[in-house]
Amino acid sequence: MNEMTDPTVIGQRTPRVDGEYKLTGRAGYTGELHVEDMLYGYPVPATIAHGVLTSLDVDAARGMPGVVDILHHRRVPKLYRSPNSMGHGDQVSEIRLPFEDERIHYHGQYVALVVAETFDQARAAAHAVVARYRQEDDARPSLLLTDAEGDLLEEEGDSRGDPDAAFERAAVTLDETYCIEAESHLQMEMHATLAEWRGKRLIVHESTQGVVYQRNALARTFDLPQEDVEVISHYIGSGFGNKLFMWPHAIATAAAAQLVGRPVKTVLPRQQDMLTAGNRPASRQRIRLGAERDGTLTSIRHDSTTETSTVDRYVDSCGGATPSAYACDNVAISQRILPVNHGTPCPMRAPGEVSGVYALEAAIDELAIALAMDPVELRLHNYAQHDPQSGLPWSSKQLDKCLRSAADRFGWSQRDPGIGAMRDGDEIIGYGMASATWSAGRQPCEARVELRADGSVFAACGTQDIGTGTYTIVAQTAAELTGVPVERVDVKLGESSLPAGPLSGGSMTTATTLPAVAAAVRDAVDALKEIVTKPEGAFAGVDPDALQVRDGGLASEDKHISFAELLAMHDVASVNGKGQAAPGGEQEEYSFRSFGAHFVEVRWDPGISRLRVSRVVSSIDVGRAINPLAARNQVEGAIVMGIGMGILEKLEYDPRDARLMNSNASDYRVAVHADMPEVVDVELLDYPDFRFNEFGARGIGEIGLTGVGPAIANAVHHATGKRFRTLPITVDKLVEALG
Amino acid sequence: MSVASSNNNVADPAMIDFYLNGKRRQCADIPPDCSMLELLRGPLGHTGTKEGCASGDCGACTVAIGEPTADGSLNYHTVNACITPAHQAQGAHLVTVEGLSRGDALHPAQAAMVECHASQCGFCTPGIVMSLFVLHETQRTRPAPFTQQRLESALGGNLCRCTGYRPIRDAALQMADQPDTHPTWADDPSLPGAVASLCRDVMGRTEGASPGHYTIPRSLEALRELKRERPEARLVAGATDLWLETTQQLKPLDDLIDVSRVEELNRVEAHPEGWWVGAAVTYSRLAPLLDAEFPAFGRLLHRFASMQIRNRGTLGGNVANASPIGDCPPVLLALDARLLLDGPDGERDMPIDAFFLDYKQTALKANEFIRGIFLPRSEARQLKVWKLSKRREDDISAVLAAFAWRLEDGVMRDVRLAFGGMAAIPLRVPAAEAALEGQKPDEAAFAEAKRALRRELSPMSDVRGSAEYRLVAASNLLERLRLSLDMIPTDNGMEVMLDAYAH
Ligand SMILES: Cc1cc2nc3c(=O)[nH]c(=O)nc-3n(C[C@H](O)[C@H](O)[C@H](O)COP(=O)(O)OP(=O)(O)OC[C@H]3O[C@@H](n4cnc5c(N)ncnc54)[C@H](O)[C@@H]3O)c2cc1C
Ligand code: FES
Ligand code: FES
Repeated sequence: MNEMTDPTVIGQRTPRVDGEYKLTGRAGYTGELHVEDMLYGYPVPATIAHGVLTSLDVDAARGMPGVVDILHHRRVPKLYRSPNSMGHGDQVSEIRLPFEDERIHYHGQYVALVVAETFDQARAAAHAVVARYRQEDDARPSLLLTDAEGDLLEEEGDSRGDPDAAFERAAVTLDETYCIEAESHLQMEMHATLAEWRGKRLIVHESTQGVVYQRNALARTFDLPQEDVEVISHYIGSGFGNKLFMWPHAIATAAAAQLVGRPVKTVLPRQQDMLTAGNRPASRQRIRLGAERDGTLTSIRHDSTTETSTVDRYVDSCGGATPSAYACDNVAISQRILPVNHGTPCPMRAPGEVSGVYALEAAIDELAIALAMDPVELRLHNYAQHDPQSGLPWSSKQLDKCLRSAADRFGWSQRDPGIGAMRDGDEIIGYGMASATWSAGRQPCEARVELRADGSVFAACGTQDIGTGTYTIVAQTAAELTGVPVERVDVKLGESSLPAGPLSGGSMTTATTLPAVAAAVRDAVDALKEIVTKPEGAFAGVDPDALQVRDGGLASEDKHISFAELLAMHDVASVNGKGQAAPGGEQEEYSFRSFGAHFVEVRWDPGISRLRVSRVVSSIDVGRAINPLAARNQVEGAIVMGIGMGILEKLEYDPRDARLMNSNASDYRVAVHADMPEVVDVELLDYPDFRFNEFGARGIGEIGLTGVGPAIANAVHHATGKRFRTLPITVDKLVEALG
Repeated sequence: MSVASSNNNVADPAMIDFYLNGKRRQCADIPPDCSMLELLRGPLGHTGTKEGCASGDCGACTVAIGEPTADGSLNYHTVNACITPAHQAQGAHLVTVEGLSRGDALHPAQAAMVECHASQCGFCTPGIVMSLFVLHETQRTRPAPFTQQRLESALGGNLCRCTGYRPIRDAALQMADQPDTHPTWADDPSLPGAVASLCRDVMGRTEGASPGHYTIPRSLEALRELKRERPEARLVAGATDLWLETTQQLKPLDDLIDVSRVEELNRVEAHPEGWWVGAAVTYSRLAPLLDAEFPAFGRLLHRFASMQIRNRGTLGGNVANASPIGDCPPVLLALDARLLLDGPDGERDMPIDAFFLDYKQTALKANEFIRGIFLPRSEARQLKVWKLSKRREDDISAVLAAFAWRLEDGVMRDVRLAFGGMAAIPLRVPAAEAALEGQKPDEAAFAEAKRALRRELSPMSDVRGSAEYRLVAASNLLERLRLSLDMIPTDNGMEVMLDAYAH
C-alpha cells in the first residue's frame, strides 16, 4: 500500500475536475433543468407563525391564466410520514407532511402550492390565493426571549467523576451563560425539486446533500418500493447542512406531479428558503468551571438548551466535544430542547459542536483572565494526552503543535494582555484565540469502478459533490491507484441508483467514500489481472500478485502494457470492480477527532464602534489533506463564515408574533468581500492518520468554523474590556454597551 | 413570449431587440415586469446566470451590458439581472457567462478562477466571472493598478458563501497573467456599430407604446406627453428600488415609463452657482463630479450598495423613492440642494427641504417627475458624511449623518445637520443647528446640540438598529464632528473629508 504512504496524486494541489463547467455556466443545477411538459410550482407561505388557517380561497387563483392546479390541506394525494430513522437512512428534516392540517406552526409554512404552466403564472397566482388565519398570541419567538427551560434529553447527557463536588471545592470558579442567535445557512443555491412520475416510478431531481436518504424517504412517503424511486443531484450550490434531509417542498412537488400527471419543478424563492428550509437554532449554554490556582481544571459542567420547532424534535447537541476537550476528572454535559415557532432547525456546518466550542472556549478565556494566566498556557496545562471520556488513546492528536505554530505565526508573544493596551492610530487592537475541534467519523460505503478500453477509468458512487470537491478527490483516488491521469477519470456521483454512498455531511464524505473507491479500483485491477494471466493472455504464466499497476497499465519486470491495450488485446470493453468499505475494529482501539487553533486580531474604533476582524492565523490538523488546494479553502471559507457568526449573522424574529423579519440577503448579513480580513493564514499540518483509514484523511469541511466565534469574542474583550456573551457582537451592541 | 433571431423590424413595443453574446435577438411579447434574469433563464434558455436572491443583494445574477460610446466602441458595466427590467436590454449588447469563452479556450476571468480554485459550489461563480470580465475590460481600455479599494468595489456586490473570497481576489490579480483570449464575438469589428445603430432604431419604436406596456421615451417632451396620457403609469429609472416590488412583494408592474434614456434627464450641466444633475444620471456617471467637487459625497458612494447597483441606480430614483434610510437625501439637505420638478402642467423649482412630507410621501404630483437636482457650489462650505451600517459594503444605512457648515472668524455659520434613519423622512434638525449657529465649535455648544437631538428625534427600532442605538450613534457622530474640528486647522477653507463606516 505504498501508494498511500507515498502518493503522487493524492495530497497534490489539484484543480477541480468540474471547474470548467462551473466557470462557463454549463453545470446544470436543479433549478435550470427542464423536461418536456413541465409545470412550475410556487408555494404559498403562511403569513403568521402560530395559529390556525381558518379559510383558504383558491378560486380566483385557480381561474388565472396558466394555472393547472392548487394543492392544499383538502386537496393532496395520500402521503405517509417517513419513519425518520437515521439508522435506516430515511431521516427527513421535518417530520410533518405538507398540508397535513390547518394548524400553523411557523411563519412561511406552506398553506398551498400553485402549479402553473410558467413560473410567472405560478407566482402571480400564489399572490392571489387568499388565506385567512386566527393568530394565537402565545407564539414563542426565540429561546433567547424566554426563560422557559425546555425538555431535558436524558440520552444526550453524559458525565464522569463528581463535577458538583469538585466545583464546590475549587479555588477558582466560573459560572456564566453564553448564547448564540439563530443563523441562516444562506447557501447560494436555493432548494429546488423537479419531480416526474414515469408510470409508477418517481424520478426526482433535487439539490440535496443525500440522494440515497431522500430516495429512501420518498419511497416511504409515497409508499413505493425503493427501486421505483430515483433521486438525482449532479450539481449543488452548496448546502452547509440544510440539504442533508428532505424538506416538505420536495414532498409537495412530487405530490403535485402525481396529482396533475405532469412533471413539476419548484424552486424556493430566497424568502421561503430562509423561512422553511432550516436554520441553526439559537442556543443558551451555561458553563461552570472549577480550577486550582495553578490552572488545573477540576470541574466542567456544560448545560445547553437549543431550539426546535413545534412539529419536530431537532437536537443541536452542543456539549459533544466538551468531555474530550480537557484533561479534567469531573465533567458533565446536559442538553435540552425548547420548541419555538420557527421552521424546523437542522444541522448547519459543525452543528452543535461549533456552538459548544464557542461557549467552552470563551469560558476558558475568562478563566485564564481570572487566573492571570496566558490562555494558550492554560490550554496546554490541561492538555488531554488521551481521550479522557473514552479512556482510549487518540489516533493522532497534534493540538499542541497547532497551538504553538499558530501562536508563533500570529505573534502572540507580542500581546500586551492589558485591556485596550494595544493601539494603532484611532484603533484599539485586540488579540484572541481559541481551539478548534470536530469529531472524525466514517460510514459504510459502496462504489463501482470500470477500467475502459478507451483508456479511461470510470468511478461511481451514490454520494454527491456539494461544492467541496468530491468529484475531484474521487478522480484523484482512481488516478493514484491506476496511474491514469486525473483528466482521464470519469466520475459519476449524485444518483441514488449508484452504489450506496454517504451523505455529504459531518465531514465524513472523504473518509467514507475514498476507501470504497480504492477497493473498487483494486477489484477491477484484479479482474484484469485474472484475464491477462490466463494461458492465452498477455501476461500468460505470470503470477497475478507479481503484476504491478503502473502508469495506467500492468507491468511485470520490463514489460508494461497499458490498460487500453490489454483490454483491446483481450476483446474486453471494460473490467468492472465493486468496492465496499466500512469503519472497523479501529473504533474500539482509538478515539478519532481533529483539532486546530485560531488566533484572531480585531480592530475596534471606539469613536464609531467600528469593529473589524483584521487578521486570522490558524493551524488545523485533519490528518492528510487529499487535495490541499481544496482543503485549505474549506478552512478559509469556514473562517469567513465564522466572522459572520461572530459579528454579523442573526435571524431576527418579531418578539410579538415570532414572524421572521429578515428573510432576505439584505437584512440577514453574511460577510462580504470587504469583511475579509487583510490576513488569513491557514496552515494544514500533515500527519496522515492511517489508523483511521488507508488514506490517512479525516474530514475538513467543518472544523475550520469551530473556534472562530470564541476567538473573536475573546479578542473583542481584549480590545474593549467588555465581555459579550451573546453572538453576534454587532455594532449596535458595542455602541449600547460602550457608548 | 417568443424568441427569434431574425432581422425583421416590426414595430412591436413589447418586442425586445438586442444583442446577446454577439448575436442579434428579438423577443416578442415580453411583459413589462419581466426581469432580464427571467428573460435569460426562461425564453432564452440561458441558465448559466443564476438567481440567489432576486433582490440585488447577492450578485449571482450579474451580467454585463455594453452600451455604445461616442468613440464607436462598447462600454461594459455590470448589472444585477434579477432587478433589471428585461426591456432595458433594448438596443444593448448583453454579455453573459455563456458568452466569454472562445470555443474551449477560457476567458482570462474564467481561467484565473479555475487556477485559483475560486469556485467551490460554483453557484456564485457566473456572477463573479462577469464582475471580473468587466474589470478586465475596464483594465484594457483604462489601465490602472488593482488597489484594495478597486477590487472591493469590483467584487463587493458578489456574495460567496463557500470560498471566503481570498481565492476570488487572487483570481482578479491573476487575470493579467492568463493568455488574453477574446470571446468569439469580439472578433467582429462591426459589432459596436451594429449595436449603436440598433439602439437608434429601436428607440424610435417604443416611444409610442400604449398603457400596459413598457415605454421608453427619449426626450423630455415625449416624457411630459406620456405623463399627460398615463399619469398613473409608474416611472422607472435604474429599477433598483422599484423592481423589488415585483420580486419581493410579488406585485405586478404592468404600466411602466422608463426615464433612463430621456436625453435631458441624463445631463450634468455646470453653472457658476452649481451643477444641475439630470434625474436619470446613474451613480457611476455622477461619481467623477462628486469626487472632484464634493469628495465627502463621493466617498459616500463607495459605501453605497454595490457596483452593480451604482451602475443603474440614480439620484432621481433615490430622492423620489423617499425612503427614510436613503443615503443621498440627507446629503442633499445638508448641501441645500434644489429640485426641478416637471410634468404636463409645467415645471417648478423647489428646495429639497420642502420635498419630503411624510413616510414615503413627497410633494411630487401624480403626473410629475423629477427632472433634475441642483447641487449648489460653495467654496467655503465644509461637508462631512457618515454612514453607519452593519456591514462595510453593500449595506443599507442604519444611520446616515450629513453635516455642512462654514467657519467664519472661528465660529460656525450656515450650519446644516441632516440625518437619515432617524425619523419617517430624511430631515434636518433645526434646533440642533441653532445650537451651533454662530458658535465656536466647543464642547458647550455641541453639548447643547446633542441635547437638542435627543429632544427632537424619536427614531424607530428595526432590524437595522434599535431606537437607542440610533440616538447614541447620531449624537456620537456630532461628537466626532467636534473632535475633527478640534484636530484640523480650521482656517484653510478646505473641505476636509473624513469618512467612516461601521458594521
Ligand atoms: C442591493 C441594494 C442595495 C442598495 N443600497 C442602497 C444604499 O446603500 N443606499 C441607498 O440610499 N439606497 C440603496 N438602495 C436603493 C436604491 O438603489 C436607490 O434608492 C437608488 O438610488 C434608486 O434609484 P433607481 O434609479 O434605481 O430608482 P427606481 O427603482 O427606478 O425608482 C425608485 C422610485 O423612484 C421613482 N422614480 C424614479 N425616477 C424618477 C423620476 N425621475 N421622477 C420621479 N420619480 C422617479 C420610481 O417610480 C420609483 O418609485 C439599494 C438597493 C439595492 C437593491
Ligand atoms: S439574484 Fe441575487 S443579486 Fe440578483
Ligand atoms: S462557490 Fe459557493 S457560493 Fe461561491
